Amino acid sequence: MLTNGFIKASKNIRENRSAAVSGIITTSVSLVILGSVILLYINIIGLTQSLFQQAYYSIFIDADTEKNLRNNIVISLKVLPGISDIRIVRADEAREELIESFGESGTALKKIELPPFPDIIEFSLEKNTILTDAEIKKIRSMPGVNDVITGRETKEQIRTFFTIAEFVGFFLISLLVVSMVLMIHNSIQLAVRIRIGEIEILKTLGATSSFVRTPFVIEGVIIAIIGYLISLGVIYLLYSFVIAGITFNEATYSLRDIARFFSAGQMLSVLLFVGLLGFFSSLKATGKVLQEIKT
Amino acid sequence: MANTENRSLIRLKKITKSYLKKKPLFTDLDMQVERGEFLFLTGVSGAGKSTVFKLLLGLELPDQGEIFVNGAKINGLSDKEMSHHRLNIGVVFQDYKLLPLKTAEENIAIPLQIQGRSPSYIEKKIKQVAGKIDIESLLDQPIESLSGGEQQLVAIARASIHSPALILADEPTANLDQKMAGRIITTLLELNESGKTVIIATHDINLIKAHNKRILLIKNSGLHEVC
Ligand SMILES: Nc1ncnc2c1ncn2[C@@H]1O[C@H](COP(=O)(O)OP(=O)(O)OP(=O)(O)O)[C@@H](O)[C@H]1O
Ligand SMILES: [Mg+2]
Repeated sequence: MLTNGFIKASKNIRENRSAAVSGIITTSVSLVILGSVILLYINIIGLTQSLFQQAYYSIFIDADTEKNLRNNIVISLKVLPGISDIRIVRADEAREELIESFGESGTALKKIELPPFPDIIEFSLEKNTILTDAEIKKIRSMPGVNDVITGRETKEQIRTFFTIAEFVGFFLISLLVVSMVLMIHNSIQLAVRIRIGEIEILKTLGATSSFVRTPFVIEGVIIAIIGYLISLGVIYLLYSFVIAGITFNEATYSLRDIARFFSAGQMLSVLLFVGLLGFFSSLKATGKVLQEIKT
Repeated sequence: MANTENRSLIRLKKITKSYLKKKPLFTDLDMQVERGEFLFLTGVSGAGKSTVFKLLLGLELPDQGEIFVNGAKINGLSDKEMSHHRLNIGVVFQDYKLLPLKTAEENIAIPLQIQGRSPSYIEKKIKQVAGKIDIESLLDQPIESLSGGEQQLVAIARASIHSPALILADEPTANLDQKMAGRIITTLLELNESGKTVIIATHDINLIKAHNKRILLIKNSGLHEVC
């Protein structure tokens, strides 16, 4: 019955090519739009998070601290969880950096007597780890430490901002999903509805409802899956194009490692979802048509 | 009760039928057809010949009365039972009801496909029927490319391929030339000789006169035996 239905469905698609093709086109165009927006969204979120999610700390060292005391501070930092990138900025370097950051007007700054700079130990923590208040207090109380400045506040603000942005993005994508699902649903329904005359004749000749339904349902699934595969191909092409552009440009080359395509699991679940959408759309459409002709 | 119903192939009892708000087409119409009969159903255009066929097929339901075919009451059959019932009747529709994009062969195969026959069985049967009606050359042609008479022949092939007990032919000779009409009636007579009950709906007086068969006339909302 199923193989029979499959043969009939592919025959139907060939016979009613325009309806099937328009179903496939609608499905794939919808999915290309949806998929591109989601991919862009995932990548923008991922990119910004990886750029902003590190927490930065600066430890100001008293001007007259001995070298081994300073080393002690560094050693105690190294055991912190998620620590990466400890950097010691000497007072004169810090001064240079400051003056450089002013550019042209920096030369004027050079002449001005600046207050003495303390040495600074800078370090950052990996994603999602923050020092607790107790840990910061401990660092602050170490001999030779003048002060600890944390980037935590800014980090918290950025995190809140991204939570909101993520939510808004999620909301917009949900709307897009709903409208795309309706579009695909309608185009598959149309492919069934257009053959109401054929269904009526089959029923008149003695076909059971399931005999009529099977090839249409298989056809709906085929249309949905072909549409999905085409859209996946198109999105992958677009993605490769963007990646090629990023790689070509030195400034953006490092983004290459952060950029992500859909995972195999994601692609499979969407395939399943789209297949089910085709299944239920055509099932519903056939049911409705059978109800309408009522013979 | 079942016994009396069982004896005749078709039995319509006190059928009243009207479409929408129009005045009833039939009131208290009775009709009985025995197995193996060949008969003409006639009446003016709009008398309700096609409607009788639709009632027999369960495509229309009577407002009142009961319809028995092969002993089974056909109002209120389930989807499966209705399928079984319709497969027992071969119909040549007034408007053919062929699928225009499919080939003649694919159209003829439909009843056997519904019965779930194997492709090899279907192929064998199609060859057999096409040979009998002499339409082998039409088999691979799409319906839309065939003439009215050729479509009529394909419709007859489709109506008889699964050997139904009853064959209904609605105006099978309308719009056909003498020769083609003769060929079609001959085919239907042959089917009757092979044991099938055949009912032809027509208002072609010459056709009826040419054959000495039972005639039923629909007139004044009732059915009349013509002798
Ligand atoms: N589905 C329908 N809805 C409303 N009225 C209908 C319907 N089918 C048939 N009728 C009406 O019922 C009457 C009988 O129609 P029917 O087709 O049975 O006549 P007929 O005897 O076959 O005519 P003809 O010789 O022209 O084929 C006509 O007046 C027709 O308009
Ligand atoms: Mg008629």
